[in-house]
Amino acid sequence: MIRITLLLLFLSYNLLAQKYINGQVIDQDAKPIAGVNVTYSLINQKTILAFTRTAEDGTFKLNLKPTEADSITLILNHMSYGKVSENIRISTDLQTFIMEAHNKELDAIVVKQKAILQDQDTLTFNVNAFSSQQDRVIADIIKKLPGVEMQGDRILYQGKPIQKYMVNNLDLMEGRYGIINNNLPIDAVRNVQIIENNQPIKILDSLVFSDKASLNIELKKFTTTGSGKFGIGASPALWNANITPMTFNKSFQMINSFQSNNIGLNVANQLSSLSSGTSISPAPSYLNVRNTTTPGFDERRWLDNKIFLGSSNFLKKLNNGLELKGNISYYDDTQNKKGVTNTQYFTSQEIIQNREEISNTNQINALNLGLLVEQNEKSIYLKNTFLMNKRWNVDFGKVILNTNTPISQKRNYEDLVLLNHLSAKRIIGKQLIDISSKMEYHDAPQRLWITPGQFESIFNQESKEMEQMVFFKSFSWKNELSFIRKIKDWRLIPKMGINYQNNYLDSYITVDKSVLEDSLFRNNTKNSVIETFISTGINLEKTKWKLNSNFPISLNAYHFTKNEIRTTFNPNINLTWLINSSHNLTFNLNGGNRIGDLNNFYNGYIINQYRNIQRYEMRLLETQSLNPSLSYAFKNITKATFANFAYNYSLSRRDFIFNTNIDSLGRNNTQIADQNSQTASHRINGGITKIFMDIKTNVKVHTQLNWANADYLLNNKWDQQHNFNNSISLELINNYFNTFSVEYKTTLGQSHTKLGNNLSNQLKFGSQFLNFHIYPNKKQTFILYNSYYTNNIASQRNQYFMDATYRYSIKKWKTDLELTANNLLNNKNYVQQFATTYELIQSSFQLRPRQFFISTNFRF
Amino acid sequence: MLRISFIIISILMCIKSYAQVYTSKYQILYNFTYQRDSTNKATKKSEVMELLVHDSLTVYQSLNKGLRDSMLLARGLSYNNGTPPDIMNATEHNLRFSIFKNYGPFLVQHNYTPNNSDDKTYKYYKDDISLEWELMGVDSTISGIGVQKAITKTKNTTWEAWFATEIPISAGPYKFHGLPGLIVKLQDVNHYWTFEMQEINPKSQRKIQLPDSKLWAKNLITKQDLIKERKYYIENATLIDIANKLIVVDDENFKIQLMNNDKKRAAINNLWIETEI
Repeated sequence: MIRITLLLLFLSYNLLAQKYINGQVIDQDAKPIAGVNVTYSLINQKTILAFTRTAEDGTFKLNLKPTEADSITLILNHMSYGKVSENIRISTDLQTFIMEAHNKELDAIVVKQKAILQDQDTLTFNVNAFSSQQDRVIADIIKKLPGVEMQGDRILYQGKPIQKYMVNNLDLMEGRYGIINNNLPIDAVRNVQIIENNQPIKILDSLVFSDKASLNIELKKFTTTGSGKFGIGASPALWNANITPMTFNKSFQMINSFQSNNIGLNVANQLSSLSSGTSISPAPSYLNVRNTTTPGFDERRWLDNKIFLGSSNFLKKLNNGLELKGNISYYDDTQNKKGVTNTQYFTSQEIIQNREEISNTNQINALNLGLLVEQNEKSIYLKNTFLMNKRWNVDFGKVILNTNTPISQKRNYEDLVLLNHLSAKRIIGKQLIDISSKMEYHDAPQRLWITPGQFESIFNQESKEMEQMVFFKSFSWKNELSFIRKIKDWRLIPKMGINYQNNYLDSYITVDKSVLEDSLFRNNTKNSVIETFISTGINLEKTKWKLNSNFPISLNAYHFTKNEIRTTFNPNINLTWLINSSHNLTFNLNGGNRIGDLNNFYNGYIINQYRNIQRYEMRLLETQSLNPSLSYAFKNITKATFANFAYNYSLSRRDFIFNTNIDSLGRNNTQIADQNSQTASHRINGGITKIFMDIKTNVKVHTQLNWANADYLLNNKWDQQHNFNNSISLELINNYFNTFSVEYKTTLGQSHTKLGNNLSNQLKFGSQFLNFHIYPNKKQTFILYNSYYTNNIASQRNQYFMDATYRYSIKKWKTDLELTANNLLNNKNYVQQFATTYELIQSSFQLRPRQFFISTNFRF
Repeated sequence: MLRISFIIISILMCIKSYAQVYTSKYQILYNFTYQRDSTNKATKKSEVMELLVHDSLTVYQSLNKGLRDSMLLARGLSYNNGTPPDIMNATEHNLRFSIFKNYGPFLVQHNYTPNNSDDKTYKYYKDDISLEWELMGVDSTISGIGVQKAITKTKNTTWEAWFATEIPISAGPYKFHGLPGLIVKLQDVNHYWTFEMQEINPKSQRKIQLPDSKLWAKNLITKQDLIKERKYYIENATLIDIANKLIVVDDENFKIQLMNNDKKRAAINNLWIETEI
């Protein structure tokens, strides 16, 4: 037995002993060949296991990996002698190999530029790989990228809005990136990058983990570029002008834009902030003219506008690391909206029907000013943002109620906002200290004038006209101090702060030019709140796990007609599991109790609208909520496949409910009732995008599913509303052929609303878009746009729209000449239907008629 | 070793006597991405590099530097006469070095000043590198080329290479060589430096001229000295350029500003592949 074991040991020792091949390579004339690559693999396998090279005398010694095989495949390869592969027995004897001279012909190889590259957290999308003949500005490319979707001008990556939009790693526009996205020519761009988990504040890098993504545009070179457009059309007289020059240098960037049109392009959207950050929210608007519902599709089909816009933005990076940014924008917009609204009100007693013919003109004037100083370095972060906004709106409204009662309205709204936000971060000792201080001031006088007067039963008089005046002012000051300390993989973030807010509301009602003195119709309130809070943040960052949690407790002292102290607690826990480079899973839980803001503090009546009057009891409104969510993201770069899914649940319990009373004319009066109420909702949404590179086809699928129930109180009767809606959309873009390309998008959905009294409404809707681009040659393009909207509304037939464009491109001048015909079938109205808690609204909206347009578009 | 030295000497003698011009058989283009500041990924830059192969002779350099050299050669010009502006503009490049190899050690020609180079601004050093490659037994394809994975270690880092098993060119980008096939992709573990092959042109027929041995022998220094000198130059570029009358700065404040810029540039220029291999 021992003998056998010994024998086996000896045998296996022999098998495992280092083996080698001894050889020499010679040519036909027996001359040694130097520099031959000698490799071997196991027979019938291709993986090379070891290699060597022949010496000057053609000899080589190739060490083999331990193996049980007795033969191997030996491969000899040389550029001037080609390749020889031979199965040989393993032996240490010198073996001779002969190679014949014949030049190995290498094929020319051009490695295709990869469309998507990943380097750690940075995804680089090659613009050339995604661009096709019809693309002009960078937005045309970005909307096609896998994992990216656009909601209007807002860019989302894996279902979440991007936090920054940069050009050459500089953030000139601070979230107002629409202007760059819609005007930067693609010829200037080399790559579009998505930086996942981007922490833009350098001092926080590797200290505070970020799960947000930023977008960066890499230009081909520092340059002055931009685009422009001039066009005219009919009828009535139409124009569109846009000139947007942009300069991108190493330490200086500037964008100017001058735009004007009356063809339904709401270019003011380009000035709105699309990402989170310091931005201004407008003062509450207490008054409005009766509006008709605008159609839920492409604005250019229905927006009757006349806009003039100018915007100037610059960024200068100074030598000492400071970045200065400034911007000034102004626009003047006039919009006309015409439509008919049929409303059914379901009260417990009856169903009230109303028909309103609405014709409105909205005038909007807005001036925005911003000045920023920023220092973003490894050792210090400093940012001061100063913003000034001024807005003057005037709305003229005409309503013909139930075909015989004309009502005129005029509303003025002004808002002056001043905001300053200072934020500083610095490492002192072993911790980072973070200070933030934000001040915001609003002055917003508002006026609504209505003729003839309404609400006779409340005012006890019939009147020719009535007027509601509101003077609103507010001031808030928020201060925060926090420390960030790193202990191994953990971060401890204690935070404390004090916030002060005060609101001033003065209002009165004039009926037939005399002021109503009754305190029921007057407000003159000052209220304030001081919030002091402390919070503990606990973060953990491991290679596979990221935990972000925050536990703020706040003590709020309110001062209104009485003094009241409330505490709130709003914990938030976010846990991310990075399963591997392709999959990650995030769980979020937040909740707690919140106290409503002070805007609804008015005891006296305010006429919000010709048909709506409100007064609220002065009391604090408390809401308790619980919101768990689970989201999943997937990406596979080599297959250009991205997907994301999310489930959200939201439960909120209020210690109040809005009680709406409707009179026989459908006019309503809203108050707060002391009754607990609850809303709960579930939401599932997801999307998959995939690019088939070989056939140049993009496929995007999105779906969402919501169901919710909410309590409501109508004419003192409590009820529950159930809502269920879902939709699915599919988008296909094909650029495979040189002579034409196709875009197809379809959305199908339904919404089902159940109210009390067994009333219910089910709406099915669908839309299909099919666009053909035909390129008979490199200079000419025919584009045919088809849109088809379907629904189940009895009174509305399905609608089909057709538009066409002929484009002649002059490559040398980077210019296109375009002839466009919009709404070829001359559809006049668009009808839609939707339900709120107590209304079923069917509204028709006047569309832009058939129009022709000729324009020249250029890039420089 | 003696024999190899003899071969080098004889080759160099040939060059000296006839200033021999070779014609490349293959041109291989690599996209080289390099990060300049180890703490900031935004400092990544890239440049297209070429590897010219003529039997055992290889030259590795920026494609535009190669184009500039061969344009000058074609017009019978040398650096000393100044480069015509049309050539200058068409062949802008940031990486100002060429690496020659013919059997023996690498001969690296380096101009660390950004100024228009004449022969005198070139420094030379020799680098004898042998790399221990470990085959990882993993194969794959990159753009249809069958490749296999290998790793090697240098001073402080590990490199992952994918080589083409069917293309028996043992040369590679920069000083990487010695695999039984052409390197198609190469990257260090920190992703500071990435080489990606873009093209193989079998009919490139580019003229290659080895540097004049008289000249390089005169300007030969050690690699450590070159790294030191280059570092010193980057930190004090303004002063050195003024001393060499390459730039004239009258305004004292402006001079101080330029000097501060030098310091800043030096601070973000902290990753050099030369210190690694």
